[in-house]
Amino acid sequence: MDWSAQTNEMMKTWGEAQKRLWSGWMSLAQEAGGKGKAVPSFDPSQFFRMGADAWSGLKDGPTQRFTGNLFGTPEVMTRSMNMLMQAWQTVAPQIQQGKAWQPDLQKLLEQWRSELSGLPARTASAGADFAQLSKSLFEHWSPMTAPWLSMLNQATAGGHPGAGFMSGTAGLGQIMGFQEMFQGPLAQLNLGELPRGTVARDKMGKFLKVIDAMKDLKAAQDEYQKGLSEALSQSVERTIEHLVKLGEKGEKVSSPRELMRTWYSIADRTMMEKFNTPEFRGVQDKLTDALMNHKQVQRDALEMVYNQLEIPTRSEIDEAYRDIHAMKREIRALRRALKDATPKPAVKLAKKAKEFEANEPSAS
Amino acid sequence: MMQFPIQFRADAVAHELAEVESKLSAGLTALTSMTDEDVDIGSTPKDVFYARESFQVYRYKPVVDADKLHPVPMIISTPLINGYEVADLQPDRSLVRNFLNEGIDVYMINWGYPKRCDRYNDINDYVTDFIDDIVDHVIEGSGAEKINLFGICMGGTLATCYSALHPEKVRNLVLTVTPIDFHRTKVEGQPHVGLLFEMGRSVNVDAMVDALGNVPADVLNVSFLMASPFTLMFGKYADTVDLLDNKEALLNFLRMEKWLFGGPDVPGEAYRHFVKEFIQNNHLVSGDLVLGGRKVDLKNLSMPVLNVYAERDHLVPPPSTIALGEHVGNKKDYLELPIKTGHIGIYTGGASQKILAPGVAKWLKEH
Repeated sequence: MDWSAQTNEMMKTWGEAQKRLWSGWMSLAQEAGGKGKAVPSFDPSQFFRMGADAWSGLKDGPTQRFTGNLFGTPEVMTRSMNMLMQAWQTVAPQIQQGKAWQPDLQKLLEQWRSELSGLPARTASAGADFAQLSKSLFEHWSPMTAPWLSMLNQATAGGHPGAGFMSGTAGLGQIMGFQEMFQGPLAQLNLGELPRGTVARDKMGKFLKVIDAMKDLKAAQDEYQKGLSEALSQSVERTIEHLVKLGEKGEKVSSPRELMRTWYSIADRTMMEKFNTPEFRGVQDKLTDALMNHKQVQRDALEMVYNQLEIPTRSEIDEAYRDIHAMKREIRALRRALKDATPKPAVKLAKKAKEFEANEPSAS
Repeated sequence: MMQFPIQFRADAVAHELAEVESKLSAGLTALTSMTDEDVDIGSTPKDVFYARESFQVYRYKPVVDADKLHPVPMIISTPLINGYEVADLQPDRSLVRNFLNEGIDVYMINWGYPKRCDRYNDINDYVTDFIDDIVDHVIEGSGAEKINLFGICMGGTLATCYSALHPEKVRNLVLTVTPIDFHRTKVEGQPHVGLLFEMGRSVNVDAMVDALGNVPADVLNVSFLMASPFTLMFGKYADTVDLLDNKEALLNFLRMEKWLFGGPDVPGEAYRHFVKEFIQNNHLVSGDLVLGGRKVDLKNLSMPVLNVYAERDHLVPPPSTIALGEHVGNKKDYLELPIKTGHIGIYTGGASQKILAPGVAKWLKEH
């Protein structure tokens, strides 16, 4: 049979199998969801998460985590298979005709790489970065910071976030909520400039560092993602090569799970090779640095807010822990010195003496 | 002529998926009836022998008569990464139970779940204070003159350092899958072997610890998963479908999951200290490691040493472990025991149950 026809047949079989797979999983999840929660039909990930939660009835235990992974399995399985099927569909006619199939595959892989690594790069404005920062502060950090940040966000909505702290009193006034003070006759005297200027520069510096760290993090993430997507597409290419070799030997893959396992095994090996290259290691280290720096400068900026609100900061608590740790070490050393200096208990001495007597030659 | 290599027959695929659905349904029914408590790990009966700060020392209840109990107590030194339960994961695959059956008096260190206030504990604290304190307590409590020290992975590295500093308190040292030479980690043609140490060599550990404080278990788990990302993150769960209709097998799978993903965070300074001194600078074998103000000299390992390694270990490659043989002071009483398994399989694998504990017990009784 013509390979295009066979490929179509294969796609049809897989399509029907997928429908069946999904319908089975959906009914299981629906049954679980029916235990008390409404199941939204428009959001598959939410749908399965809810199904998993309902099935396990546990919070953060191994059963719940495992059930979640099980519910995610068909999605991963179908996505993996769809990728491979699409790749195979692209190259099958060329392979049958004995033509070079790699260029067509490369086009497809290039398209995937672009999608995976989020290219073309989106250029985020500083305002958008700042909105993202504020959102992260609102969502993940103490609600105590919300009013302050809200004010800051409003003040910087019109331009670069640093502007809120720079260039005279207007932005600063907005941030601190003292607009009126710096308007009208008082503004002529520049009263706010000198004392606040230093504070403002310090604050500005810390917040600008956060913005820079976010940009660095995004760049590092993009680079890392690019490396991963290169390895991923290479693994697809190798899987096709593997299938071609099977065909040449007259062998075949007859089950979707077998094909999936084959691809996973090839993908793992390809990833390993990638992870072991100095270039990728460099990219990974850069990502780690960017992540850590991001966390550190966010904390520095937030601690500035906490100081204003007279709330103890992470750094202050860590400093206290460090002092306690040093004191614990001293106490341990003193205890040990005391123990070493204390004469052995009488029982042990008596035992030693007895042993000594026993070893002494008899006087008689 | 070349054959079309993907032959999905509609009836075979339908059958395969029907089987998957049926197993899944049975598995999910089993899962609904399970609680977290059912997935019990570390269940061998024990008492808390000693507790201090965030760690505890267990003494396991002997299963042989007192006169048959081996006179030298054995302390199991566990890693700071992952829990102590790897040695007691499930009742029929428990290193601890196997030791008890062999008449060994077993003590186990559980380092616990370090809190933020523990972040300044470094390797000095663990080796020269905590382990030394534990050894003293066991010696005092048991009336023995010395103890046997059994190390698990990184716990073995700590035990090695301790034994080199205090050979007078250690009668025998047994190491299992223990990294010693952190720069002998590559195996030609096996890119996944030793990857973790390769990554550790270039990581900016200062940035990590300064930003994170304690290093979260999840960060470490991701590193472990990277040695086989597709298989461990996706393939493993797809394959689990095949054991879903077997409740006992499912329970055992969940025990492993619980142990793998329920590990403790690592105290920040201990992590920094270990990565810099051991992984990056390899000071343990270069002779430049200083703990508690004293140089850790492997030549001081004058006691008999049994070094057990897993031939298929990709996390701690065998060359890293057996390098110890070149450095010990007492080469006459140094013995290696290879087991055909992987890093975790050495404790939990079926075949290993008949080799590890019986082999170690026999060796201990001879020394």
